[in-house]
Amino acid sequence: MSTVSFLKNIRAALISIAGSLAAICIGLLLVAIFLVAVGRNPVETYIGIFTSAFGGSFAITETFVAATPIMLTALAVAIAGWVGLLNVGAEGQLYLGAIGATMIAITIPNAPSWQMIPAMFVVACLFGAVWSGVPAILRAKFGVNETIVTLLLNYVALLLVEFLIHGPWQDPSSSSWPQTMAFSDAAQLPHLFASRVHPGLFIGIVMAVFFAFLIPMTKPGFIIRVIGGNPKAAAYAHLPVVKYIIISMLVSGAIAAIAGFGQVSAIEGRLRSGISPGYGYTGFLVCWLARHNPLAIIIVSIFVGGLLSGADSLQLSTKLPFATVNIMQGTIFLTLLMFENIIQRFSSATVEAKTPEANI
Amino acid sequence: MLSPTAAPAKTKTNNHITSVENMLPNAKQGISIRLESISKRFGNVLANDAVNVNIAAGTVHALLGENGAGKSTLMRILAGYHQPDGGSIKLNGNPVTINSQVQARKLGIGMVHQRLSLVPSLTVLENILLGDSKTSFIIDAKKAYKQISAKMAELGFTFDLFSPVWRLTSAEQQKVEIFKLLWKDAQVLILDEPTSQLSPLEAEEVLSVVRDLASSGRTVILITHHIEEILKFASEITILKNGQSLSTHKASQIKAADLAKLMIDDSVNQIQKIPAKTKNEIYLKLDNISLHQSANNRRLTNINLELLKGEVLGIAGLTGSGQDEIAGILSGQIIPNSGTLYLEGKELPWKVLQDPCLCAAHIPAHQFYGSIPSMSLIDNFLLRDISNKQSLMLNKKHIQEKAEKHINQFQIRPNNPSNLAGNLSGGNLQRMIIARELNKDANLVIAVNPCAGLDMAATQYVLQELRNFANQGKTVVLISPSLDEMLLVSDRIAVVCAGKITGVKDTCEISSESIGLMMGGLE
Repeated sequence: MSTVSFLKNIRAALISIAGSLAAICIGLLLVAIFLVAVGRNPVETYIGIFTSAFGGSFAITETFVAATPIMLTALAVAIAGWVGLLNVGAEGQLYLGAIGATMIAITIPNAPSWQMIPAMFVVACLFGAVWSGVPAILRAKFGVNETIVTLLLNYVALLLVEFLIHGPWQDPSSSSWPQTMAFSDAAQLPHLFASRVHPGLFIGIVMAVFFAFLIPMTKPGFIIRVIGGNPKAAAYAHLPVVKYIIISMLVSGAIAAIAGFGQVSAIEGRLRSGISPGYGYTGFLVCWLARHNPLAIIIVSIFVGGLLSGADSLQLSTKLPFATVNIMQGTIFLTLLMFENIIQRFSSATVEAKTPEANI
Repeated sequence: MLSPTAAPAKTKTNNHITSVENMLPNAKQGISIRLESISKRFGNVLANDAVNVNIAAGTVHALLGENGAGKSTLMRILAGYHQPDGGSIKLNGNPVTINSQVQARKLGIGMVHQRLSLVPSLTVLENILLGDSKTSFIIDAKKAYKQISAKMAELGFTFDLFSPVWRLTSAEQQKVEIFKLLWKDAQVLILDEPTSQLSPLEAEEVLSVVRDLASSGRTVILITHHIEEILKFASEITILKNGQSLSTHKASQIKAADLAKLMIDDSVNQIQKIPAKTKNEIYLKLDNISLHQSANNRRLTNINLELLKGEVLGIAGLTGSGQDEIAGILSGQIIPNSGTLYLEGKELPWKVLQDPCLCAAHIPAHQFYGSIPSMSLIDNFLLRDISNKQSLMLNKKHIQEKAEKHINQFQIRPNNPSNLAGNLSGGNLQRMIIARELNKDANLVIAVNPCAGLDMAATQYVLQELRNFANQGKTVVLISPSLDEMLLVSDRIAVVCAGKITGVKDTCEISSESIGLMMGGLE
């Protein structure tokens, strides 16, 4: 690569990063207007969020705890996105993973940990893959819009959890609480660093690094990029489009399911309806903020995880409702999306002007 | 040459009339058009080179020429889509500047494009109202229906105004497009290949409507490749060639064969043909192929075709006669409903043609099918190397070197291999696809309109490369709208008409005129 084009790439990357930072600042400014309107000091609030997200080891580990399911679901969305599909169903796939893990934990409660954890992991992945496999097959074989199907399956998944914890799986010892019985010790993922951080975080990071390598460097990665870039060209080159679409969606669902497995096994220790405050949807936003880049997903999910864990302090110190964080997240996402076009215009202005296409 | 029938402006002495009000009194008597030394350049391509055309009011004037002769560019200039780099336009003898489509419309000029611009899900009535500035915020459908059907009756149009457009036949859709212009009071109608998607009968139907419009005082400019149609429906013909206007003729005074000879490009150098050493050795054979979507929609019927080693086989036919389907089958994109494939004498399943190692080099008809705009040139070159031979890991250095070699060989500009394919111009994108396909190690090459968007030198180069393939004993199938390209490089030409092969002839035995007749199913 020539130095000129290398410098151009660097410049485009810098413009992109600067644009994202500017967008985040504008988003924070807009939220500041809201905070002032409800009589809070925005600077204090932001400092509060920052210190409770990143100030001190406890804060940081809690940020990682929140970032784990976000990272995994964001990766799930990205994998589908690379083949050009919109998986809005990470939330449902997460719940299916939780159901799968719980099923093993409560059916063989006395199994030793070395059998229990792998079994929970595998069944969780299988359940998540089934949940994403249905829209994948409908899409690949019948052309049904996967966005609608994955979105609607989220509600089915949530209702399925409600049914299980109110019905067959309800803990007999606490009949008033809609939840399963607590998992045995063998069914609980170990915690690390004397905190609530669990191996799910490392699965996420390893996966992200793995995909960051697979997509640009390998043959399957290339096929995935071609299918996402132009499925017609993929068919022209006789690439196995249907196979790759289905496999990608199955892997996507399985990775989202790992998030659910982590939540029930390491955080809650049982299945309840509140195991995810919309991690699947947050993961979707994070994936788009990171522009489907797996390494960027790691960073953005830690940032957003910090916002979420900072929300607790917001509730306590400033008496603002938890929804304020959702407002903040949504506003920043919107400003980033709006900046996307502007950034592209700036970076393409540096590239040579297009020669007009002769139409003769 | 014809003298312009410039109807003298009644009382005007003003030479620079551009306002509508001044034009309209003349418009009622028809508008004559004088295009004087119009030039237009796109990048490296000189699309129009000092073109002169005089068009009399109230006539059908045909523009004839090969692809890329500059017909569409000239008409897009007249309709306000492009501004000419030089030259002048005179309507009824008055010079005008046409800066925009809106202004062209005000001057009474309207154009129907090759690709129709109707909304299929809306009704005919809604489509007519769509581009109409008279349409108010709240649509008074009843009033509009009355006015439109009155106008239709006046002009002799019949179609169901309440039918959604997708239900209409292609001919009816074409007529709706023409009527849309008339509804906007167009006095000059430019029709860009209106019959390319129509059957001969439908073409007749549409063109007789067009002829009636001309005899009622409107000026019609017709772009088409069909010489027979022109002789039947146009009164004058201007031939364009390589961006220049060659000559103008009266339809009554010229023969089809002479027109064909005039429009053919003779500036392409002779291409060296080496007769195949192993004559008549069959590489691939399609035996009794049929392709249909339903019982009454047959796209290919009983096709028998033998592809010989060491030959270029041209497949000629009017647009949509089945040549694209044959290319689709040979490249493994389409599997026919019935018929047998023989490869070097062995009966084989159709899936063989999809094997990435065995499949043909294929220059597709549409650049979009053969490229990924969002990916780099390096990746686009790699697209066809993804076979079983490709290792799991991509060898970036090797791939990049290969890409640079292709870029230099075919002079793709800009020449940075990391550039996105989507940033290339049409001609350079075509070069990229050709570079990739011609470097593919394949025994069969399927080239569909390979020279689209290429200049003369590149065209020459590509045709020579295709010929070289055949000279090496490989098999080449060439499908092109330009008969001359095919006559130049092919050993044999198969002609398709309405999904059937109407003849296979050695190139040395036939002329473009007899191919023309076979394409129309007349021989």
